[in-house]
Amino acid sequence: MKVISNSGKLLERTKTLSKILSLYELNQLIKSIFDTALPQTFLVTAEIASLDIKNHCFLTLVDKDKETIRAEMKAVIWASTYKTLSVEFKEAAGIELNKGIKILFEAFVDFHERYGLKLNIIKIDPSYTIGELAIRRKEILERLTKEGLKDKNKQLEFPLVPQRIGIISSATAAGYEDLLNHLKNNPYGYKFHCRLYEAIMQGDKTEASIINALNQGRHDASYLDVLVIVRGGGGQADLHCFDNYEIAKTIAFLPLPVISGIGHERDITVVDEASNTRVKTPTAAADLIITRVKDFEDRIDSLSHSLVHATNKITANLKETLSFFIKNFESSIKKELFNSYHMLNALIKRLNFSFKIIRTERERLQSKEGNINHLNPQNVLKRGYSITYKNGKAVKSESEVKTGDSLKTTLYKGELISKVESKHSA
Amino acid sequence: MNDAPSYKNAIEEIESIVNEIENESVDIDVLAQKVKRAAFLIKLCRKRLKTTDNEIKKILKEFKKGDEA
Repeated sequence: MKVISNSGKLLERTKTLSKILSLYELNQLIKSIFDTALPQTFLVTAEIASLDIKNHCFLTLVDKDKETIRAEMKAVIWASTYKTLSVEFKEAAGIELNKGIKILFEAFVDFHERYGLKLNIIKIDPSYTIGELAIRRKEILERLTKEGLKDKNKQLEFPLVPQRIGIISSATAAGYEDLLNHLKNNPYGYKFHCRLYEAIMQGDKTEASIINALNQGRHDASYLDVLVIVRGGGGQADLHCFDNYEIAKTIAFLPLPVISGIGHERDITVVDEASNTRVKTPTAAADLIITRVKDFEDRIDSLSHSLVHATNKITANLKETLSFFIKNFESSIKKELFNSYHMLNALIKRLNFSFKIIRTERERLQSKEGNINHLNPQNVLKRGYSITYKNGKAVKSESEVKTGDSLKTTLYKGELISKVESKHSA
Repeated sequence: MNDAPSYKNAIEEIESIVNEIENESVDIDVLAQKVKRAAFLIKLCRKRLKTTDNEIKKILKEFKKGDEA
């Protein structure tokens, strides 16, 4: 049988065969042509447009030029092959075989009478996929950098006390539960207020779902301090969902800082790069938050100590100054008092001395007075003496009088007029 | 919670008061008032980390009463 190159020639052939073929017979014909013409395997690159696992793995492969599909083909990985192949691929590439990724594979071209044309994949090269993912990631990152979006979320100040947490995750995700438990049971007794914004974290609906959740978070921004994206628990699946331009762009324009806790060990995805902070696990996200709050509490404690210390210092100073002044005051007063006392004493002494003098003089005067009194003629008269006058003159001698003279005698009381009867000399 | 200062404002105010006191640039008369304010903010921050909104509202009420007294 010759190789048929176009349908025109086929019709000619059948005409010459003068036989009508059943579809089955036609397909058998086609199958044998394929088996003969293309017995070998081919190394092919393509993108997985869809993937369905029903024991065997059925794929639709496409070849795109920019966004336009220029080739399409169905493929199959038979169950026995798929078992080992999928595990090997996942271990090597870090992701599972899934829609959206590009692969380099080795396959037979199979035509089956019943099922038509399919590629039978026997081997896949993970490093090509890794390379492709890396290239795509790099391209997205470059675009984000060029548009100034890559570091925008990092410019937001990470809150001092991240207490109100918006979590973007799937409610059933183990990561979400881990995060909640860790926060709830933190060893310091901090209270966190968490709100879940549900999203699908794998598959082709991831982009729209996460963007929607992020926008809900934006809407509640005034009641939140931070957003956290957590995923998974176990598997490595679908990291490439997070190498996504639109999600990164949404994050860039959020008014809240985003913690990316997507939970993978090796790669840094675009979402990781676009977020404010990235952590490796949901638990690490909780720790980051708790540590931040602890730092704040430590700062408060330190300020509290400083306040007490500084205040005590001031009051101690005041007390000291006051007691110093009081002591000073006391000694000054004492001095003043002492001086005054001293002066007073001196004055008193002088006064006493003056009194003494006065007394002495008075005594002297008194004795003089006594003398005077004693010599006072009146007092002499009192004692019985009298004064005899002749013609107004006091008589002191008998020679001053003659017998028969008239004499006046002053007594203490009264006077006498007398005549001299006789006289005698002393 | 609208009348409660934010964590950031609270800690900035506390720091400012502590600095003033440490620099001894505070009048004696004002000292007691400032210490009281700082102590209140410290208490509020500490409480807020570990309790619900309702308890915070209570603390705020108490403090306002104390001021009016």
